[in-house]
Amino acid sequence: MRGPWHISTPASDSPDQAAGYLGDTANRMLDFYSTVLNPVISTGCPCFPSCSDYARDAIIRFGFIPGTILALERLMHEPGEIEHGRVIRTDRGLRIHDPLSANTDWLFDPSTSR
Amino acid sequence: MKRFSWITFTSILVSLSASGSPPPSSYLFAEYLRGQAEYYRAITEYHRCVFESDDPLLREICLYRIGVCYLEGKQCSDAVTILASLASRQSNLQERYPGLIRYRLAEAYYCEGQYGRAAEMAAGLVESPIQDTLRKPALYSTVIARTQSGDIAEALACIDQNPDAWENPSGAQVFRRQIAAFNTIGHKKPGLAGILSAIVPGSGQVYAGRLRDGLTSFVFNGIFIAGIVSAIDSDHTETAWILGFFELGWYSANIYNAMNDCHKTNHLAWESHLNTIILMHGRPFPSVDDSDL
Repeated sequence: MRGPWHISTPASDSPDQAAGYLGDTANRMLDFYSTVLNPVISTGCPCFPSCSDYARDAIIRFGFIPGTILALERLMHEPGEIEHGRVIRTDRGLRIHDPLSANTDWLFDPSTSR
Repeated sequence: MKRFSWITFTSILVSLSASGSPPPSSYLFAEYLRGQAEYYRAITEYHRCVFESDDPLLREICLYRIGVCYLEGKQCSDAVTILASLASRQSNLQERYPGLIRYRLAEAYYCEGQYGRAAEMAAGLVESPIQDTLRKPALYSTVIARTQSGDIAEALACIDQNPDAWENPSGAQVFRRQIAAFNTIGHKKPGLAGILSAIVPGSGQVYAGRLRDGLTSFVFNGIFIAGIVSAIDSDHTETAWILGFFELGWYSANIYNAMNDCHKTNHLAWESHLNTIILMHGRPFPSVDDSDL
């Protein structure tokens, strides 16, 4: 399938932003981590999106406290996801596909829950 | 693929030439592109055809093909928009090929994840006067869409009410058993997993079948709780408060993780069973031959 219709939307463009002051601070810390620390200390997140992008997305969408809990939950389920998750090809090689929606949809849309 | 596209291309050229005025080159080129799976570029050419052609039927065919190209390219919302607008009006194409547009619209709804709506539309097709070549695919699609929307009883009723629609009685029985199995798979209870993890961090994840998640949760929570106990024992109250703050996050995440794992396990079991059915019986909306429109 070829065609320029696969355009991703950045999380910051999301209409339901609920970050607040604490969320903004957390996002700046995550920016610092992903641009300065991550290239030095990390060997690369096995999941897509990476944990810092996931945390940023969660904080922007749900606010500081729920977003932080979701980010911690991501760290917790990462080992299991490597075992059970779906592998996709990304710009940075093969990664486990684990978007925020895969872990929160059942909260808002019961039809996605079996 | 190339051979198929040339056969389609030639057959359309012959059929349209026989019916009167020759089709515009944009239509023929669009058909060729569609045969090459170049859906995005084909859509542009179909739009050119709509713009150029004076024949209302050909314009409807081009609009229909645009919808199909969107479907093939997994642009489900665009497919719904264009096919819904086509289905809502009285058209020559609907008279010529009854049910085809609505079948594709049901497929677009399914593609978009609106399984209930797709099932209703496909079921409506089975009841209405349509060609026999569409009836069997519509029936099968109704069953799969009803299953996807979680309405297993209705899906089973649909199989029972149309015993002649399947290849043979034993095939129908196998299909029925496979659909009925959805009632018994993926029934881990998220609430129970949450309670288990609230009592012993990690146990809910083990109940959900994710041992690694359980171990991670147990170790993280264990370290923080041990740190808090140790800090209290050595009279470092501030350290205990800081560790407690972090532990609250880990503990909440642990409960959420157990529930999330349950949903994921159930979902995976469901998807896996559905994929088995699709591998055995074909895609949810079987392809229909619309090359001779």
